[in-house]
Amino acid sequence: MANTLVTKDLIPQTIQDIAQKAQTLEGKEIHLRAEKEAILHLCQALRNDSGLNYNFLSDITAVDYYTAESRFELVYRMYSIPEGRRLWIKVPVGIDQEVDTVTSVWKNADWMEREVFDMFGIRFSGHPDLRRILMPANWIGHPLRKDHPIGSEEVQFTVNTGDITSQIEFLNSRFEGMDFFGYVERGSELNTLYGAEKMKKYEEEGKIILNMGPQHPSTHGVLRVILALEGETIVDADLDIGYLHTGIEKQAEQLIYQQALTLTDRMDYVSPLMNNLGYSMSVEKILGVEVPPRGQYLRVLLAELTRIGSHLVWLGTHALEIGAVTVFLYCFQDRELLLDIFELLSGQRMMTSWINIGGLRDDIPEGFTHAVKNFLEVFPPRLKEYHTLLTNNPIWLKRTKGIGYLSLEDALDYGVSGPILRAAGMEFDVRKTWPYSAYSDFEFDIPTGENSDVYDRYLVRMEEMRQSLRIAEQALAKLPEGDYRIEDYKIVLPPRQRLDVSMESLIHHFLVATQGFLPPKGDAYVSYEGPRGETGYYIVSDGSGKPYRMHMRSPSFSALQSMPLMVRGHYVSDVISVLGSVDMIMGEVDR
Amino acid sequence: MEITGYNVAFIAIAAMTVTSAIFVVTLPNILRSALFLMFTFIGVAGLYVLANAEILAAMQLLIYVGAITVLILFAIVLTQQLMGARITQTSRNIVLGGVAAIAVFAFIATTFVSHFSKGSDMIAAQPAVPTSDPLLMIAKMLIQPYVLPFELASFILLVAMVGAIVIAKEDKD
Amino acid sequence: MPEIVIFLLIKLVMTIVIFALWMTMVPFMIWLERKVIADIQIRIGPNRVGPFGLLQPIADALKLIMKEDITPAKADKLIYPIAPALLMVPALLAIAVIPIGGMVTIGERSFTLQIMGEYRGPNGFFVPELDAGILLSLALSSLGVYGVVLAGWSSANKYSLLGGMRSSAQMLSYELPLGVALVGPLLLASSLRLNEVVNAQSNFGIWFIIPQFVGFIIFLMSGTAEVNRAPFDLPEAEQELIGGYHTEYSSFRFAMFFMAEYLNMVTISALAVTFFLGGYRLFTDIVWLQPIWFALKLMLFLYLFVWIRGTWPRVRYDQLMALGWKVSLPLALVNLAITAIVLAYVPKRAVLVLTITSIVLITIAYYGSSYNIRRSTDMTARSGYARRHLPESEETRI
Repeated sequence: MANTLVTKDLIPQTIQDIAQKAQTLEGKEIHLRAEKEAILHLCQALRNDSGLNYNFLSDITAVDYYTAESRFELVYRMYSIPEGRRLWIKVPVGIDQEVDTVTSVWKNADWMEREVFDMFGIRFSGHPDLRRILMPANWIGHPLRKDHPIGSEEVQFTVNTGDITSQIEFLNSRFEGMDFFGYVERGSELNTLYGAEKMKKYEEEGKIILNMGPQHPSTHGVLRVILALEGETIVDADLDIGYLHTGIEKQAEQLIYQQALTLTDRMDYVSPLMNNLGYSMSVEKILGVEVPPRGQYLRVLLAELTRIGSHLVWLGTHALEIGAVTVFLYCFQDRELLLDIFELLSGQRMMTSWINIGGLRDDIPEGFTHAVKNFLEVFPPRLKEYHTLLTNNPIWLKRTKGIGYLSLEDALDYGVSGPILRAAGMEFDVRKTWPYSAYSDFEFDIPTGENSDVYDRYLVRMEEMRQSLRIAEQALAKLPEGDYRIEDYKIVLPPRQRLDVSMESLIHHFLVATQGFLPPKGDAYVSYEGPRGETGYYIVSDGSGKPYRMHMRSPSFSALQSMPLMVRGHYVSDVISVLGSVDMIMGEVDR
Repeated sequence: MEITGYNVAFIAIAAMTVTSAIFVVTLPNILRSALFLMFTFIGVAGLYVLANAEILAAMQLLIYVGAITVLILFAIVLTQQLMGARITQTSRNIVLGGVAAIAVFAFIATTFVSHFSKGSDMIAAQPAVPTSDPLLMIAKMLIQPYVLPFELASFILLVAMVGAIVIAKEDKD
Repeated sequence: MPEIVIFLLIKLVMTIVIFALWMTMVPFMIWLERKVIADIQIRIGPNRVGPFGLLQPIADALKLIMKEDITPAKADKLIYPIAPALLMVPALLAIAVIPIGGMVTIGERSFTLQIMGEYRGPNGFFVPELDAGILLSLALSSLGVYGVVLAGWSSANKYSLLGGMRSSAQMLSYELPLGVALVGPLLLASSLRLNEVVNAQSNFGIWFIIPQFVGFIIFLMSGTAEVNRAPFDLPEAEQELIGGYHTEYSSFRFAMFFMAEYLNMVTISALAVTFFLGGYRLFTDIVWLQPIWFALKLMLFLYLFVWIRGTWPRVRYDQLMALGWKVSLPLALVNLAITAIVLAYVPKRAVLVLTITSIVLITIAYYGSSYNIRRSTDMTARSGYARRHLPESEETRI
């Protein structure tokens, strides 16, 4: 079934087929290939069929198979929650072809399709607002296409792209004989400033337009929010992202697998170890290797410590934005203990790159267990103190209760996952639904809320920290002896001491360090439960030492999309609470 | 007129009051006019102090400066800055406005002149020194002889307030 | 030398000394705030400039003054520069009515340590204390609104404007409960003169904080809101409005806003001391010790301001207004009515009765508000897992 192309006529049959499989274990993960004409109807059928109920669009991305007959391949990935069935649809698309938009099926397809358009230039017919999202509006070309030139070209700024045609001529002359910019489109009709039309309408209606960010103290970096206000009440909001876009997905294509790992640290920069984990698991899936138990346990331990660290940053900044400056400093004080642990481990405080393809970079050092035990002992009373400071504080309650409501239907529609979805009452956690690493060995609970407001998200995250502590305790207690990584020296570096005695090890070391390893052709998509929700890594291998395509499914990207929904009808001050409760990291949104 | 501390203070404060008042009506920028209105009211409060009416002065500051002018400022800022409506300082009905101004001036002037014709020198007149606690006097006045006007005034204010709320509410729906 | 000249000289010296003291309070307060907050937040705070970092505020002030004074291109060229002064001048003037010590006698002249205070010279030369002292003080504090609203307006910046509007609305709303809360002590003292209020407290043998506890709480709350301090520091909520009305200001004009805020805080504390904590009197009547007692009590309040700031999150604008109009003002009025009735019918046992009623009133208010919060949190009482797994002590408290 994975290789037959689903056409429009085949849809009913396919649905039936999937429905049958859904009852069995086979239905847990289904691959499909579909014709581009069929995609909209197929998605509608998948979403609306009550038996299938693929209600959660996780990701839309694309791959540029430069030499293939139909150049691009769109990848749709959807889940049925809470049953936990996964489905991929791959859709081949030619260079000049348009694809039907699925925004009518899932709302979060909006930004995802815009990203695909921005990066690959694939147009979606019927999309309500197809504009660039990450790149500047006046950018030339679509950067994730394989023929987009890399390096040595002039950086595009407004100053030097004033005259677009001369710029194109310049680049064409530079890469003579290569039709790099044959497809260039100015696209000015598409590249209007974000939400300008919509906001203009509000302005004409006499609403106040207030611009927040990108240089605003509470937009967590560089998010731009444009608010239409009536008095202080928010009528509508628009978001402008991409200010922190660093082209990590493009960069990864130029680096060998081990090097690309270091880029993942920089995406969600408050939980780098988790990014390492997701990326490593994805590459390991392509390689078909299994990490030994000790490595798995240590990965779980580190991931949970990272989660606590990330939640501490969230709690601190959230409280800071609502005005409790002290909580912020307390949280960073506690996070310091975690950073010390990471430093002990890797010598780095943030960009650790410690979880590596095949296991960990090295075994835990002396004193690590002691440091973690110390943290596990010190932190619970501190957590209790945060509860004392905030949980029953009347001002805190007034600022967070009933603010930023997002119904469960909307949350699923927008592909919101993690604490925000759980606060809406859905018990969805990748660690439980599709256990990875060694999570099935651990006992922990998934906290959920009921009211889906800022306060419930707060409670859910606070409880998650406690559950993470539980997992970390278990991991430490049950930590098995043995290898911390695989013993295949074609993939991991041989131990340092063997280099002095073994020629073979030296050769392995040289090869792994210079050209990396060569995984088989194929692709893999592995998701894990990050602090902000379901985070996924999609990696395509063409058999070379460098990933052909690396894509990250960012949870904040989806959650942020639902933000205008959460703030409508509230006051300007509530934008701050809502942004705090979304807990987005712009590094991972913009990538 | 001999030069006493009292006279110097009076002339200074009166000059400030009158100058600000002139600015209020002549400045093209309405917000600046409001600002000078504040100075005018402060000047009037100063005159009250010179007339030994400290409590009246404090009330003038509290009510006229602290509340009424601020309200005017609010109205200007809200309409002009937030709503984008232009408020012009000059009236389109110059003739009507002129007639009204002249009428008011004539009324005050006649009162003034009639006082002078009686032979009392208003500027030189020393302020009356109260015989007992002025606060007590005001309080007694309000409670005993003037209780009805006092209550009536508060009732009218209440009606105005309710009316304002009703109008604001209706506007919303 | 005529008596009037001596009178003016004495007043001049007193004014200079008191102003100087008050102005030193500002850097000291900034230092205290930074040190205490640092202590609360497990930091060290300023410790480089001078002993214990005491000279840090002065270094900061110098730095601020050295900065370029920027006027935005679209700002109003007349109002923008004078707005900080409009905030600063009333803040300074309000000091004039506050007594920091009792009657001092030098030779045949005696006067109170109060700029607008009583003065007795030889040959019956007598200048009484300003009659409407507290009214003047309140009136001046209401003038501060101009500085704020005009600064916000003239900066030609939406954040400034919103901050200015918020702040002025907040100051206007809280003036009412602030004033009404003071009427209770005034009734007890039966005078508008601040010196009389202090004396009345020693005559009663009890600080007015006891019989007027409700008034005290309301005064504290409204005072905090009036001077825009946490948790009511919305106008300058940098997380929402960047810097509020003073976003565009720099250099000395910014320093003036800063100073005015701290001056107002000191003034509000001084009023609280005078009205509720027995003013400058403590233990003995040695006159030269009285300013020290006053300063000590003042410190208590200043510390309280800092402490609150270090602990609580910020309320939202509409919640702040609701608190002012729906809670503080009615409560202050009820308190006023009770005080008046008690004084009219049981003047002999007024203190005792008032103490009891204020305890009752505050209990009702406390349970009323916690009922209100509980009602609004009822939704989560049914909430899911996260709720059920709160630490035990937290569960029981809601």
